[in-house]
Amino acid sequence: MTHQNLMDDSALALALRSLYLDEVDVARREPPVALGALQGSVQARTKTWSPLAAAVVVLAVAIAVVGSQLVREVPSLAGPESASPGGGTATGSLNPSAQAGASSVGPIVDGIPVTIGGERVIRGTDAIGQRIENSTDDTSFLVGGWFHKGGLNILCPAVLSYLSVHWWPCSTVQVYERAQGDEQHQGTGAAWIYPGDPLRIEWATATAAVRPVVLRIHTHDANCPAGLQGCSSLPVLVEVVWLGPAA
Amino acid sequence: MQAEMIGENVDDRPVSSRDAETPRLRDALASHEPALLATARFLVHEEADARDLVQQTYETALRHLDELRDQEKLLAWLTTIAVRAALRRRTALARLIPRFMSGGFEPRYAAPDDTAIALRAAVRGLPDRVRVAVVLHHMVGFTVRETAVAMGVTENTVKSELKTGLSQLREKLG
Repeated sequence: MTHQNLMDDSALALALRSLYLDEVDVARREPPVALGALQGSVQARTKTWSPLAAAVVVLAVAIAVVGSQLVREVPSLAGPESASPGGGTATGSLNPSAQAGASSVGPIVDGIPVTIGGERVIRGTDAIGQRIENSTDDTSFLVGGWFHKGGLNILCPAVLSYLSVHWWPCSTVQVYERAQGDEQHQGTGAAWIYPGDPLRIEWATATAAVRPVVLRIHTHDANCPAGLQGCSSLPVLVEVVWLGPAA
Repeated sequence: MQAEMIGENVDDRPVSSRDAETPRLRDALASHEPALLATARFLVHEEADARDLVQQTYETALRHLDELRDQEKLLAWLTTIAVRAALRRRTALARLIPRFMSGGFEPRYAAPDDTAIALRAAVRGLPDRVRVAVVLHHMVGFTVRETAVAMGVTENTVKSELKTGLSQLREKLG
């Protein structure tokens, strides 16, 4: 097939259909994207258990137990880079409930879990932004992405310093769409997440290394200062739920 | 509202939410995922967005299963949900989340010949609405009417977008 062959409508339409079918074939060979959500919503209601299903569940539980141990080891496996220059470590940002949640990490696609504890992890700045915009109360949700080493150099005008460190835009941590150093995706967007009051993450944790992360965040934070206009719509960290190994 | 849009164009056999528990519907939902992901990859520019769109589509679908009247049209129903979500997403501004210059998404799986690669790039370069019409009609196989319903426009608009689309594709490939 050459470009010249596509100059009439029917040939072009045929080529388009063929292109689509090729893409379906590619997608068919990949791990499922939405199966986790589907299983959570549908398969959980299944009442009858075949012996094979029971065996699979036992195996899954065993894997989950081993997996949870591995997940808890991730920060230490990350090596010296996980230690922050300020003395804090990535481990320090993982509270006990976060570690418990990490025990049910779903399939990992492009380095980020698709679900954790059956809850979908939202990815991409547009999707995260839309979820934040749609948030009308302090119900939390999971967002996934990448911490970049060194973080983002933000110009912080002195005029902003009247804000407490918790609500200073310069104190936000950035969750990037892509891993740092991905040549194809230089300059991709990032979600800016406020660190919470009291601080729920050390800034150094988010800048010590390139690593995948899942955060639980919410809007309408109870500790928003009364005088800070628009604070209720700010995305605020609730907890670090999962930290992958440093790249 | 999503609930209203996905209830269009249906016949008289309601499917209850409990049907989702049946292996048949469950398998059908899962079996359409590759086609949906393939479509999503032509609807949005970023791989992460495509995957997110598929997840969002399934979540919406599961919440509105009661409105699915014809299981034979399950893929068309799912695709319509995805298209509407993609079009809405495009217009939504991500407040407080700066979006820096995007590097764009290059397909990870190159098609086997130069023409297919060029055609893929040409499709991705079409204006959004034109691209959606071309993807739905010429690639997924929707009729003009189904495409119009999915996009929320008239059939004449779809025909016009398709004409523009093929013309622009020829220009890009010429």
